[in-house]
Amino acid sequence: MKSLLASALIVGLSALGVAKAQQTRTGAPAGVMALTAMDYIQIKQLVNRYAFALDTGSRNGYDYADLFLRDGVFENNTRGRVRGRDQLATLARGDEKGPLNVVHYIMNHIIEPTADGAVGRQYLINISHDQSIPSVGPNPNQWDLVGQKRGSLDTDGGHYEDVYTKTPEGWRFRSRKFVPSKSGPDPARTGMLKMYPVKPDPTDTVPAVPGGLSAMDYIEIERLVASYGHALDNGYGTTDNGEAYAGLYTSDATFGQSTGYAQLAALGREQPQGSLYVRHYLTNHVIEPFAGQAIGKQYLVVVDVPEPEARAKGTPGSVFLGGHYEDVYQKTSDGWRIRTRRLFRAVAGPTGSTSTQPAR
Amino acid sequence: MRNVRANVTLAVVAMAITIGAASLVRAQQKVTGGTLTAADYIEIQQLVARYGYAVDTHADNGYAYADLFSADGTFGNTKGREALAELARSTQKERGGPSYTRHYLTNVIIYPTPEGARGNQYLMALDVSEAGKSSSIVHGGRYDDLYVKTAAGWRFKSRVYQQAKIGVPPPTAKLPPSSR
Repeated sequence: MKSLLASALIVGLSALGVAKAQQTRTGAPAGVMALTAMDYIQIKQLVNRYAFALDTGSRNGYDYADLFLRDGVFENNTRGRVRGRDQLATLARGDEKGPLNVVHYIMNHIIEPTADGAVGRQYLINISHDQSIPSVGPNPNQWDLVGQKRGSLDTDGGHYEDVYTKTPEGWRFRSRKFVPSKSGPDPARTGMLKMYPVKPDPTDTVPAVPGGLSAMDYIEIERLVASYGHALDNGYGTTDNGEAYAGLYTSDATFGQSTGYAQLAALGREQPQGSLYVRHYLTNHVIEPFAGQAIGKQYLVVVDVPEPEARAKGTPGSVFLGGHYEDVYQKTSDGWRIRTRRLFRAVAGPTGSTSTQPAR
Repeated sequence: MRNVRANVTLAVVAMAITIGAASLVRAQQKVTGGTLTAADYIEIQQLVARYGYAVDTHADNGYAYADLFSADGTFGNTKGREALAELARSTQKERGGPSYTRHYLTNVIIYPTPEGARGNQYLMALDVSEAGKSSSIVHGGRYDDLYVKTAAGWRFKSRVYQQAKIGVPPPTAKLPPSSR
């Protein structure tokens, strides 16, 4: 009996050893914080909120300031170092700020866990959208409008370098620095950020709070919205985009003046398309749980990129349309779908048409 | 005698544990064959997000780019670590470096496959202003990827870039208002 107990203990201990070895394989190495999928998602959400907070200037700049720690720092080439809540809020104020202002398009978000948090980088391009758009009549042929220039890239482009800290309220910027794009050597910059295994966690599939969203919910909603361009512009590489486009929505969904599968499929088919076509670039996707479902908002820029022949001649592409979408998502038996979607064209400056919390 | 029985019992228990463990592994293999965990999605997102930096910085003499691919990985017709590193070194040879940004990727979609995962993104290749010149859109298109989970983590197994090309407008492109 004694030996049975001893053997059982050995089996138990070796099971623990296996578990520990698996932990090492599936988490970050010693000395580095093991981040879960939800950590990565919340850090990405922090950065996605950044553009909305900065461009709208909501809550007199304090939505922007509150993305940072109390003594957080923002630094760039024109303003130097700005530290602390009140100083940061002033960065998000200005005549151009307003609920429909859309400028900062942020992409390529890489994250590396550190001993006490994480660091990250993204690319930024600022885009200006024309405030007056030529009249095109009530029912234009959308194909005839391709290439019409209604905005332009700003001179500001480059990358951000961040340090993130996890607080009881969630992930925040400890510091964020903008570095303008520049060709050639730059001794101040280090190489690539490392990739580490993401730590498995119960919240991967089960929300941490009732009515909340699991990591998989966020991932599926992200993918739904990231699919928008693929479905609309090229039908996921096919020749008919209508079904692909309507398939993003619930059966009773509404986008603009189109409701239901048939109208949404027809709306998709009216748009310029082709199996190799790309036009709708979406980014800065903010997602929130809401009444058992989810809401979200993201930036859109419709770009007419030069085709191979035009590119060979050095002809640049043009910005056709900019703005942001506001969505309600619903979980169906087939997965997350768009229930309602509204497009708000980019308008600089204060406007009375929406609240400062557009997604609600 | 008592010990023998105990040992037999223990052997049966141990066997049961082994069988249980084996079926657990099988179950996990089955899961990774057709589905992806949240951790898998994030790791593949992070792989894709590093692509622009690897191309634009020319880091590690092109090997930072090559090492995003599996050992037999391909970009278009370019295959293998040395060839991929050479491709990264020679892309925008005159323009690059640790602060250079050109490859902007978004619309990242990832799906499980029986062998691993597949995915797509849009690219916007920009010539970002230096010294006050205006920025411009150089080209754009779509990436079509396959990913494989290696001992070092998720990597590109194959990646193809398709430059954007508009289709042919259907004769019915202009619809009467009543059909809207």
